[in-house]
Amino acid sequence: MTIETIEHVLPPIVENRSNDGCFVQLDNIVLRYPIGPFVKGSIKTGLFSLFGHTPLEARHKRPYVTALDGVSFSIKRGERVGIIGRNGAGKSTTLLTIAGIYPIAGGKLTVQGKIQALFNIGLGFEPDATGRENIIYRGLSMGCAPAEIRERAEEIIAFADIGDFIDMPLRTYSSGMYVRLAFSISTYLEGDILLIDEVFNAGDAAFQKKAVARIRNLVTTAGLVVMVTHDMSIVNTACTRALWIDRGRLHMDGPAQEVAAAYLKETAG
Amino acid sequence: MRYLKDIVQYRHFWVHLALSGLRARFRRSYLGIFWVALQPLILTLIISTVLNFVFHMTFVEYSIYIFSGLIAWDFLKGCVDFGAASFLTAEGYIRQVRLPMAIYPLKAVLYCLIVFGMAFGGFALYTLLLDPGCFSWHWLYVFPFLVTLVVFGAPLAVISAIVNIKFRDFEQFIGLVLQIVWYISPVFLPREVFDKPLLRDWTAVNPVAALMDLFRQPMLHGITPDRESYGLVFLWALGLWALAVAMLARNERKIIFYY
Repeated sequence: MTIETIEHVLPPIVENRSNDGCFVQLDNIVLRYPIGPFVKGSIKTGLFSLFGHTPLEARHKRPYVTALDGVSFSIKRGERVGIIGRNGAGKSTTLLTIAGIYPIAGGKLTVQGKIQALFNIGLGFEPDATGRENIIYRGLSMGCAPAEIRERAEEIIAFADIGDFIDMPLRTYSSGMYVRLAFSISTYLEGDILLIDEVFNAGDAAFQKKAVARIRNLVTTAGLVVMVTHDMSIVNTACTRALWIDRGRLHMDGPAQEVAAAYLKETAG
Repeated sequence: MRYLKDIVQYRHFWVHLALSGLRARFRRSYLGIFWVALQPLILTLIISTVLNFVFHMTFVEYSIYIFSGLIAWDFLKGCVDFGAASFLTAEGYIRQVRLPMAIYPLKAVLYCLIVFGMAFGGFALYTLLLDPGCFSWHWLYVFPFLVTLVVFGAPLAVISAIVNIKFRDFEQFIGLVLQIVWYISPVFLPREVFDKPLLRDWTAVNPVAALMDLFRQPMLHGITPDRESYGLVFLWALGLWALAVAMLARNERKIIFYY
């Protein structure tokens, strides 16, 4: 039986709140991803196993994959933290765990503050709705009051800078426009904790520059920023601290430039 | 309690989702929202014509009976169908923000309720045109009926949502079950058929039959809905709610792993 000691606070609707007390703390977090739902198979695989084909289920010794294995760190207000590591190391999982999306199998997670997440550009948007409508949906899903969203809408539209497309359905957007809008929404709808997962790649160079600058300034509106990226130049320029995650464990934690340099050294060699 | 508070707190969000579902369904369609009433109307006309032709039933009276049955049935079927799809279609939100899972099936119920409201408008208009004698102050009983529908339909949506995310066969299978229930409940076949010895015992415990009675007694016959039917539906609802809440408590945090 897994013990769940999650003390996750759903973002409350509070206007004019201050983000003074926001922080993220992970104590010995263990996250197990059950593989049951994917390897259970169908009647077809069941029949194949009759003819000596080993079903996927039998090939796994345990019914889960340990995605995070005793990860501990805490992030204070004002920090801009980059999470780096190889593919499949657990970077995105860490971010999703902070957001409270995944239930943890052990340890303690304490999150204080309103979360604003930008995980996957394609997710959480209604392709048939216009950009303007999507700003509202996104805001509502964060728990913002409709009036608060309307207040910020113009700023979001101005930063996204996609012209008349703002009143067109999202289906008609290029991937670059998508990123611009998503990034703009996520950084302008005030959250205390901003979580970003590799979304810089799709925008053009000009927008990327603008985005990095925006992240750097974000501490004034967002309390703290945690981002996953493979781009060390972003880590070097926009982050104050970096966490290197390797095979579900925290491998290195320190000033952004130092960790980025160590990571580059190891991956190069 | 905390959970209920969160559901209420995020009401703007799921109400918006329900409305956007409605907008998406009729986007770029010429008749748009009118389809909500047109669909059951046209189906009513077809069934009434056939039965009038084959069994010589009175067209007007019978068509009003069918229309009322179809719109109430569409609500129940919608709760199960849209409920089943609700976690799957909300994947983008579920993977991005942690919100109470119940809001997604509840969104489906709200959607069905809005559709029912509009279809009811069509039904009222149809009745007014063809048989104005049906109208009486008893039509006010539509309000307690709406409450009853939601109380019965909401746990259905929650249960479908959870079962379907875990066992994708559910969506395929439940269609058949609903088809059977539709045939053995007084949706379009005359009410008296269901009091025959073969079906009598089943009808006595069938919540769909009770719901149809609660709807039709005031609308079609100008009488106060009977207490036994209310009792039966609420008894079913109680059982369904107990199941829905237990399933939700058990699966709420695990749903993310089933995508």
